[in-house]
Amino acid sequence: MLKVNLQSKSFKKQNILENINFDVKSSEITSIIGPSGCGKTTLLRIIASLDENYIGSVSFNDNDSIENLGFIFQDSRLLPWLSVKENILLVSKNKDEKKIEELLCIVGLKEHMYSYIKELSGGMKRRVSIVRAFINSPDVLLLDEPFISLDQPTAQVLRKLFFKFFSDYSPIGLFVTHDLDEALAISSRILFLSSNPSTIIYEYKNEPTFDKVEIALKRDKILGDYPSILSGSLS
Amino acid sequence: MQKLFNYKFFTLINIIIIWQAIAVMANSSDFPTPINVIVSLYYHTVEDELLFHLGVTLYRVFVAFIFAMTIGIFFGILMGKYKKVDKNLDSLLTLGLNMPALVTIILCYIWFGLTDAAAIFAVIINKVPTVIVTIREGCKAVNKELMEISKVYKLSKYDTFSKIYLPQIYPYIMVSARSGLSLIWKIVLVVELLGRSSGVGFQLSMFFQFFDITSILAYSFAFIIVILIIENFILQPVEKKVTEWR
Repeated sequence: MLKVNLQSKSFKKQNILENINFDVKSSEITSIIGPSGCGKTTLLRIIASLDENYIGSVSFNDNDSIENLGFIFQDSRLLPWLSVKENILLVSKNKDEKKIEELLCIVGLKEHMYSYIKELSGGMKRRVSIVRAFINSPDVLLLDEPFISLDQPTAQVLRKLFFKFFSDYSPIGLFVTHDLDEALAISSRILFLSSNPSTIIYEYKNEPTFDKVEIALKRDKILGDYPSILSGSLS
Repeated sequence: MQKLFNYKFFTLINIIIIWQAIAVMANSSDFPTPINVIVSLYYHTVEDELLFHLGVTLYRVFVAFIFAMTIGIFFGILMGKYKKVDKNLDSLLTLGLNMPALVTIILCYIWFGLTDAAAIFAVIINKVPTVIVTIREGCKAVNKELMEISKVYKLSKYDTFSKIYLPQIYPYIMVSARSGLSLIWKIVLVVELLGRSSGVGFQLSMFFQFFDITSILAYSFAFIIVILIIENFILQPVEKKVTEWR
């Protein structure tokens, strides 16, 4: 179980995150939604130990750090001087080339295994970062708006692909997004954040679905009850 | 590539024709024709010791280059990566950058004697600061977001350095290698002229004493040809290889 007990995180003497406490169980995706600049990415960076300047604690199965972590960044963050396969091989713990090839095959990148990153489209890069994030069967998977700036059909294909991988490997998933529909599609819980400083203002239990009508109904219900929730307010 | 080669060849032929015309008009032993220089080059290569002196100079260039690059890259990375080291060594670096090459050469010869080691050491001292400056800038430009991949996936120090850090400073290493080669061979000639009894620099000083301009140009040509071969057939292909992902 991943336990986040964050008392405060400040930047330039100003609190940006305050009293954010939640647990996430295995094989569960928790989405975090909040207004732009409210500190969602900072929260993920704290969980990934990329930012250690905060008050509070993050623990995974009673350990201070997460040994086996996967992270899908907003910008793919692939190494341009390595080929697609080498990018994944670099982070692979058991250097199982067959498994890498298999996964690349599943995401439709078999032909591009030896291509450099510059030769890939935006969608292809996200596929590579999805494979990279899952290659070590991570205990915890962090996703920072991974489907942003993609056209809708590509984003939808990738969401389904991601969901398939997630079901196969069942890690703990923490998904940062500003897209409520996306959160309703893949997560079993949604945490809504306020801003200045950010804290959890509402928690929504959800049954993941890719059914557009069902998503629209849920979205309308939430926004009907709390019209300003995406701006970080319950009023 | 073929087209580029043709252009280069065309320019070279034009220069030689213009040179020949001016030399014929000048009709002076101080301004030999290109044909005279080629004949002299042939003579010094086949009948004289050009190959020996060329070899000696190239050996000095090679040793100085390897040491200067190794030391420069090491301290460049240290200074680029660690602010404390940078602060402590910065004034020394400024001193090294501004110290005239001639002063270093003379001091090395006085302190260590007129030896090959002193000559090569003087060249290294002259080149190291410029390598450090280039590599330090490269390290400061390293993408911190890419470095985070190493932290997230708990990569080994070796993998982090060789697969994430070093590739980012390869272009800077190549720039300092190419500029380094041209600077080093020029300094080596000065070092040889001032205090060695062998090498292209020494030979040039001999020809200067006899005002033998034809031989000076013949030796210069031979050396420039060798450096162009190193540049075109070693350094440029290596640079192309390490930056082919761009």
